[in-house]
Amino acid sequence: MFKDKYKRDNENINLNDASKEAIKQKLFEAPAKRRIPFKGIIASAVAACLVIGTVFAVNQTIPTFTAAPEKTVVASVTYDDIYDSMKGIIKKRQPGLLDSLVELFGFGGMAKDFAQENEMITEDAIIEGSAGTANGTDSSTTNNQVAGVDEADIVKNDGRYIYSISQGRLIITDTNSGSPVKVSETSLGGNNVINMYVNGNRLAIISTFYEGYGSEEKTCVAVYSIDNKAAPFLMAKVTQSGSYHNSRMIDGTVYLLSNYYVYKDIIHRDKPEEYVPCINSRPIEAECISMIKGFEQPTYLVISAVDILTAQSTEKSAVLGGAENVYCTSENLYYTFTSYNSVKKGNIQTTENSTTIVKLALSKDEIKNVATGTVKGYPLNQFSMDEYEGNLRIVTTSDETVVEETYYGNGFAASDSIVGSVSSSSSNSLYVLDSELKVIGKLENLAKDERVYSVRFDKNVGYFVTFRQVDPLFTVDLTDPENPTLMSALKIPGFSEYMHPYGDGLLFGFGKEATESGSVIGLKLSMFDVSDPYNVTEADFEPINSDYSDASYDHKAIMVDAKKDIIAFTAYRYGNKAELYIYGYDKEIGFELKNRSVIEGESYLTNCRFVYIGDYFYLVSSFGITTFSMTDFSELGYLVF
Amino acid sequence: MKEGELLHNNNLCGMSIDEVFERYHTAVYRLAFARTKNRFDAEDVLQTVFLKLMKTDTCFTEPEHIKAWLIKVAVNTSKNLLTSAWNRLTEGIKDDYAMDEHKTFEVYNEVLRLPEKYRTVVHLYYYEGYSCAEIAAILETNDSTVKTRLKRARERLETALKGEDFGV
Repeated sequence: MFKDKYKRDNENINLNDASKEAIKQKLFEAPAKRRIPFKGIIASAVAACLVIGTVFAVNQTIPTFTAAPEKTVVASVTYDDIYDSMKGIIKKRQPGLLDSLVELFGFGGMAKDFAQENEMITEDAIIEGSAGTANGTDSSTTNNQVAGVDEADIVKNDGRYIYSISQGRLIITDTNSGSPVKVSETSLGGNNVINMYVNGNRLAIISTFYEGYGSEEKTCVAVYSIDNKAAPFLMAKVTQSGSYHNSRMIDGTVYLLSNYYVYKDIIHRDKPEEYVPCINSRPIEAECISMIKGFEQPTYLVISAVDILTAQSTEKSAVLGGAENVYCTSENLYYTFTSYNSVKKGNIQTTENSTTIVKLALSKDEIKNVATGTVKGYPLNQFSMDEYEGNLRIVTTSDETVVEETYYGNGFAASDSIVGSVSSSSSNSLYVLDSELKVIGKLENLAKDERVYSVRFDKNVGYFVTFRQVDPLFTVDLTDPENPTLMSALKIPGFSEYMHPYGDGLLFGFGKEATESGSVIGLKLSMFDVSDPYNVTEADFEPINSDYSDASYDHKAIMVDAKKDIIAFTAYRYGNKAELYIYGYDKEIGFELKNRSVIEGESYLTNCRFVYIGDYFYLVSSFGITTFSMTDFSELGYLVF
Repeated sequence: MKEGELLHNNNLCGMSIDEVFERYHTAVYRLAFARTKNRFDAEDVLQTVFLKLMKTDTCFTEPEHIKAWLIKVAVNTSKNLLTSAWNRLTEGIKDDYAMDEHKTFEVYNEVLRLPEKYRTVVHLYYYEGYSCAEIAAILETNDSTVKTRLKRARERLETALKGEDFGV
């Protein structure tokens, strides 16, 4: 019986004699002084750096790094300047042996993996997910990062109609108070459709395609009029060079970002269209282009502003140097790119990564450079950045890789070889930069040999999760930008991949459950009590018996709405059909399952979205819409597209 | 004079602090451990609880009341630990009961994996043998909340400890 076993186990939980005596002693002395809680910079208290991987003996000191080299932005260059710099970079495109070794060991690869379309929300105002009311009913919005800054998605709603992209078609559905009816289905052509925006009677579809000699990838925003829902029609398109990177819509202006990599090995000075990005097939004017001094890759970040009402391109800008992560507020756009700095002493090369942050001021008439800054390490994704009261906070992971070269041979034979042994270590840091992107505060060397898995900022507090075997959830006090202080570190097995504030004093985490030794078991929901940031606890957790959920990688694939008390996502176990889960949370009882049901259609369903309008909850997949009641989440119907 | 005599609370049913400590420190420690999961915090809680006992004005009419009081205070005290996060960060303490005792646990590991609120009701119900109503009084919540937490905890434990018999 459990009771007996539990009692037996408890017999092994005993106060040891030494402690017992010590406590009794204290009880009979004068009353013990009250412990005074202390705040302090944790950096000095953390244990020495671990080195994992191959360990080797060195008879030289490992060189240490000072501040990472600053990169500056050179504005308004000429085509000639660009041509000269570009030619040099294209020539240098053969990587050296040591560079290959470093790349082989996956150095800093994480930065690029995460810098895709998986925009994570950085914190500005707390968005609970329900934005407007249309005709007085409550309806949900895309899980946006920042208030007033819309992010493109595959499903949108305007409080009555649901717009979804399904298998290359635009489907418009009238939700009709819980009995949805398909109103139109429009083919979107042969392009690779990515996502869209809806604004009043305008709908903008973002897609990519390949064009021209040498098949270069281009990104396109196509604006449709949806005055007549039954017959949307195309008004105009704007295309720009490069693959889709990101986009935002602010006050009816769509900002489209693409990454344009110049593949050509031969370029001609008098043909700028060969080495400069084009908007609607015309090369961008030189005065709209800036260059990052010392850029290492021939990649441009291309930004164009398109007015969704008129479908006209109003402003364009390009920066030569490329971008990995983008974080956008309603006024500023920050983008980052990572570079690797190597120092070589004798036969030992030590490489560290650092991130350059560029700040642009955004408006539909002007996109201009404001500042540049540099920090150690690389950010996980856009959630790793957050602007508050003019300051930018960023959490990074930095990797340090040390490669020792051993040369075998006598220097003549072709069989001579260079062998490298590699060891690496990583640590995590938080930086606060002012409006000029100068570092004014920092917290470094946290969680050695762990990586950041999720970050969330909430005004004066920052939360981030690192993981190797156990997941510390760090809570940092950011009230004084020059003095970020660690308030608590909660260690629990598993890790959160996405965090979202859930009402007063609660922080929701979606992530993975793991054993104490670090093996992932499945998914889990966590609710952290952050009411006392010095003593953050996990108030409840709920294991989800599944292997995979889109929510782990895409914040738009999960609905977290504290006001409506809804946490909705889909998940599946390999080999099984995908299921919809809807949870609520009660402070006394914990997570409460409101609905769990198998989703109609294909079993490995991905890219589902959730919409609520008034009294109804809709699950939108690429195959159709399932309607549920918002009161008891009973299933009411299914509409096939 | 016996150690502890000077300091005893006259209302401890005729016992000295020393005697009360001997009698109940194990129960308090085990509850504190179930809540905090490490010996440093559990010892902290134990010490705080007995210091409070020494200062309290409460009149106890039966020894069982003293125990219930100690348990209630232990629950409240273990909510407010300020030092635990720092300890774990700077000393890298892992859940150390397994290391220290070199013993295997049948079900304890799984109980410790439950969130704090569930661990508490499980401990008070199965180890201390309190009824749901008594637990509700100790935790200052209501009966149905306790019942729900116990039910949830049992469900989790049943999944983890396949085939375990929970009786009633």
